[in-house]
Amino acid sequence: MTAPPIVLEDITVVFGDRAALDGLNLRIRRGVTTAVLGVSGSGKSLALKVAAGLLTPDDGRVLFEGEPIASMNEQEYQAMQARTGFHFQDAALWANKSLRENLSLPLLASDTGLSNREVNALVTAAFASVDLRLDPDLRPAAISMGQRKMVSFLRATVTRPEILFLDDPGSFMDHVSLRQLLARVEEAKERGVSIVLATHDRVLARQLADDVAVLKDGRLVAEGAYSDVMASEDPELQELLRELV
Amino acid sequence: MVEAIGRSVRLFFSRFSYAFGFQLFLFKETFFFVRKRRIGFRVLVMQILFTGVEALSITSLMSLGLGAVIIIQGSQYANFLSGGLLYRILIVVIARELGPLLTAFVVIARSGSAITTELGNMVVSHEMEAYLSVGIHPVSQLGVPRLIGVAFSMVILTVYSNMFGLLGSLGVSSLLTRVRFVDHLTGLFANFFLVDIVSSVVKSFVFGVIIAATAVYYGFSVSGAVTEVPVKTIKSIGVSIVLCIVADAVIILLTQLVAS
Repeated sequence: MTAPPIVLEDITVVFGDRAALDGLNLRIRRGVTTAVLGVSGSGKSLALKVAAGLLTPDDGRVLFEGEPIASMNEQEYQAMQARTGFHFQDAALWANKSLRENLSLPLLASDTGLSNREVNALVTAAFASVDLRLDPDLRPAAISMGQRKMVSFLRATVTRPEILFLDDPGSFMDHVSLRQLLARVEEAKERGVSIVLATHDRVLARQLADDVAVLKDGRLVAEGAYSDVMASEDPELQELLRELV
Repeated sequence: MVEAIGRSVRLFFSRFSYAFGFQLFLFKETFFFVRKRRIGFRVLVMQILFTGVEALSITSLMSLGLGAVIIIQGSQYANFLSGGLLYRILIVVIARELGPLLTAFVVIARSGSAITTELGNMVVSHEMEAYLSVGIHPVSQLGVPRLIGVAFSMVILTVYSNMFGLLGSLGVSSLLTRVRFVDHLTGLFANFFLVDIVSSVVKSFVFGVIIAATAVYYGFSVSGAVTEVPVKTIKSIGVSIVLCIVADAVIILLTQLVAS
């Protein structure tokens, strides 16, 4: 039996004297979409970044296929990141690079041995897969936030990762762009990609998620199959879910 | 009271060990830069362009002014503009001391501050996390090319600055005396020794490394708020100036020890 792709064990992250994540335990199942639900400030984006190995927790450990991320060497960490993709809440495109370069760099970095011509072909295909109508040689500052988020999604998926982290994918996006993005997420699900989604949008979670983990003040208050958690009769949990969009 | 002192001491050592570890990592990654040139080479070229090429005009103007000031001030003293002493003073003051140091100050003001600001803003906009998410360490991608670029540019700029400072001072001296410029030039070369060149190049390289390592460290130490960026930039400039002056004193002492 293979180890789950991501396991969070007793994760604590402290900012000043406040625990933003407080002893969080979470297990992400392979080929399953897990929604991390919570109101603003509950720690869901932080949990996603810790799970993806972008932030080192103050306490606890993150296991990637059974191996602690903290004990990986540089090559192992690079190999892990080559198999994951991260879509940032605020796009986080590299401002001094063109949109084309933003998509090329993950392919160049993942050490796949692709030639520049092959990288260009993959980037062009990625742009063509969505109806953005953008000049790929533009800089991120020249396009809208919604468009940046779409490019950020393309950057996260251009390497065809096995694990995809989506941090609040619905924010800043109009309905048409969001529909396109969700169609791409559905395609990834069909390919068996494990998806971890941080959102405060219950509709989005219902549409995409198989599992949910509900956070409040950096603590896990409920987890399990989406239908089971939503059907829970725990009044505190129901109150918390009502606070979500 | 004792608790507060203890906390301060612990914080100091914690920050010091972090800074030390950061610099070790930066230098280790610099050592392996050639292996990863496919993704960091353009940053290096841009850094040399900004630090080395675009600063040429301001550096040459500053050096010309410095050379002229030394000659004009010196001309008030009898026999200053004649004999070998003039050339030795010019070489020691311009090539060995003020040339590298003033060039370092120009690079601190232009490139050091720019590096800290740019990296700090990238931390705030999560661009560093984006690098990590694609398997690239941001220190390797952004810090190392800047370190190499600034160190290399400092050496080139200092050579250029020395040249302008010495030629400018000789030009002014020719205007003030009846000695021909060519004769001045011959006298200058006759008084130039290998130790002068080595000292100038070593200093400029060390200053370049100090400026870049300090600016990169402070840029990466921004933790998330935009308001931190100018604070870290000011700290980076102040610390760079102090470290360059300290390094200057150490190199002078070492040079004298070796010479004796």
